[in-house]
Amino acid sequence: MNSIDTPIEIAGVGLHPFGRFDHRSTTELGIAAVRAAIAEAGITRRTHFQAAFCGTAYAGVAAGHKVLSALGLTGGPIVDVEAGCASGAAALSLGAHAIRSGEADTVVVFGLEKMPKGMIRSTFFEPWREEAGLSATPAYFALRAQRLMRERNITEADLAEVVVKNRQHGVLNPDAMFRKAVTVEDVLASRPVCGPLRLFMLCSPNEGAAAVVLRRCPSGSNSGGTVPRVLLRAAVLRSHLPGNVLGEATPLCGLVDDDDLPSPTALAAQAAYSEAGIGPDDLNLVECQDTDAARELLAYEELGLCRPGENAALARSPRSRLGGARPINVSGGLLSKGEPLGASALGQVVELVRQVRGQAGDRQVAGATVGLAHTVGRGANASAVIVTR
Amino acid sequence: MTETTAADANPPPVHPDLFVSIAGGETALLGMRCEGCQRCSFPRADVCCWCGHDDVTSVTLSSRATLWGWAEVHTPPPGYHGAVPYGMGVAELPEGIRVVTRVEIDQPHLLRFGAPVRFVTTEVAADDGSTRLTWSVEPLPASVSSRTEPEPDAEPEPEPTTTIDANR
Repeated sequence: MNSIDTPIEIAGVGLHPFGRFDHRSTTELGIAAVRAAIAEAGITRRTHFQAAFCGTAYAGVAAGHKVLSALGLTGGPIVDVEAGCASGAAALSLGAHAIRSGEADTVVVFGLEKMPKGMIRSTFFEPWREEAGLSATPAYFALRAQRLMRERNITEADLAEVVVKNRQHGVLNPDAMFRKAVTVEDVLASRPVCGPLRLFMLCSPNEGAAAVVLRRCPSGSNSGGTVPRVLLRAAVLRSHLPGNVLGEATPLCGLVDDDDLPSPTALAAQAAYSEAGIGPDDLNLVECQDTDAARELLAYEELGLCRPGENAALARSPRSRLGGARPINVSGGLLSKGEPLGASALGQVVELVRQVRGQAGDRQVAGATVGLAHTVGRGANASAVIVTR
Repeated sequence: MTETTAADANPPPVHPDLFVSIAGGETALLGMRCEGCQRCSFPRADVCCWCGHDDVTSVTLSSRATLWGWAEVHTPPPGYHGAVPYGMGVAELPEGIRVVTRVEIDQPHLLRFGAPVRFVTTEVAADDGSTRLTWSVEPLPASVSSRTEPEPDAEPEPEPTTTIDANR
């Protein structure tokens, strides 16, 4: 079968919590996540899968090989995938393609990272641009936030509401780094980083790993087990179109007429909705990129969750919170979990799978069967993943 | 217009061919115009970053612009050895482009969205501790700002002949 219609099952998921783990190597984080995922999928030997893809931006040479070597699971192709904040989703997309192409029946996909502390140094920038002071990532976030606030009538208190929502959700997630609720006042009193963004409005780069096992669905069969079968309905990666000076591509130059330019997130979401035959109104929950609080508000309109201008109203609405019709970042988001680049996208997918299986514990979205996960970052790279029961 | 290439300047620029000094102590960025899509861009390159056409000509971009956002950077980003805090922002040029730029922040009362600015140079430090020159914008004094507003009828830019097409 060589078709986009090939049904793909997510046969197992695993997660190493996100946080700081000074005495554990990147490889050890990956091993924990992969072991959990392959155990769920019943993989015990190297012949049980035909390819592996490992998302990472900072783990260096052969990061995926090191994990599978430790588990005696080498022999097939192992490919490390770098796509910035979307690295894990890029690995997932390649895994799905490997199955659709007919080359593989079962694929192990994982992502891992130990981010350096503090502001992230990226080889993306030429040394002269660093010397000139034009590589300050938080300033790019701040400029993007300013534009959104200006054009969508968003206030600093609205940004704080996003943080309050996600941190409230994070209290219920044992795998998150920050599990303490905050108030609007706390957020607005936190240290200014780059106006309008304050410390609590920015996610923390950190450490973690996540893994999923993809498997071609045997035709006509049901899972037969007690755990409902979960399908990967779309795993789309897109890059940017040129023109937006404040886009995640962080160019030196943009065009003034960029208003109607589709963002990489919009491109990925449109393709994913089309591929899955599912629209924003069908979603029971959404995990979206909240690198900073304004980034989440921008994602709302890019993903079709609201019309432009309704961003703040949606963040404040009970609809976007646990117990509402379509909670957003019920895992706590990156603002609670932190962001290990290679692992974060797959961490979202693990959340969606647990939710549609009904295994999400205290933060279970009642009756969830359809979820969307979104990442976007340097490159630009954006991903949209749709999971259904 | 008298132009001095930044490469001849002392201290040297962070990178050659990014900007020139022009009359009146101002600075202008060195950009290019694509003969294919008629759009300008910065910095110069052999191929147009908007449409991929390689019939491009060098242009000296306008030394005056409007401020399209700025932020104050308090923590030195990795690889940066200059002073903090400093300003980073976006300036909108009459050529129809927006460029990322440092922003001089010592007159904060003049900094607002849409404020008229001019390009200048400022000193930063290289990895080896030596001084380098880079470009920045500073707000124009309120008294001259009215002259810098682009006039609707003044030398219209050629209309771009192509648009950025999502389906390309």
